[in-house]
Amino acid sequence: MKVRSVRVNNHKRTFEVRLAGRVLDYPFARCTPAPGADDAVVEAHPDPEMAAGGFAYELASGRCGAVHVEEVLEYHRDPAHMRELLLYKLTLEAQRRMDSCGLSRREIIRRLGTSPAQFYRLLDATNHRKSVDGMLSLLHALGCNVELVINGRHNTSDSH
Amino acid sequence: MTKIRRGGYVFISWVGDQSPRHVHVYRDGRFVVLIRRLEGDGLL
Repeated sequence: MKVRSVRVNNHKRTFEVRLAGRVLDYPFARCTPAPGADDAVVEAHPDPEMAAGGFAYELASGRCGAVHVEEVLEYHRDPAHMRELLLYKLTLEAQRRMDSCGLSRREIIRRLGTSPAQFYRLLDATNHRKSVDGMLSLLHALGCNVELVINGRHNTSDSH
Repeated sequence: MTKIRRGGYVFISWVGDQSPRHVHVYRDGRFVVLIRRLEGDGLL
């Protein structure tokens, strides 16, 4: 995902980051170095060094900083981004369990009732198009019990 | 966020609220690799 443009909102003390089809705020307080009243932002722009996958800014003091677009998405808990992180964690766990489960790949594919190509797609950590459902099936085929823990965003009480 | 330039490569990393580790590598303004992919491939 690329940053189209960045605006500085000194009133809200945020960067307004324009992505494809939306604008997300990112507070100065989360930036390092943090802009302040005595060290204002003099320039902010999509960072060509990051292939516009983030933005860079310069303060009046001459100090520079940068923010990656994934930090912005993570701050806003973007659903698509959070899903991608969850898929990644499930994939890593499946890869670890593959080595310790004692089952052959052929047996796992048989248990899944799927094709070898689909099985290897599930094990590919860079594949973000697979489903969480598919990953859960794979983990069950590997003999794992999967339990979901859902945490509230602002409290620590769990619900299952 | 930390931005380090070494040997023509730009390393971008930060500590997020969520795992895994985030390290992106760029060269000449192009994305090269995401370190967590290296972890996933067992290379780290």
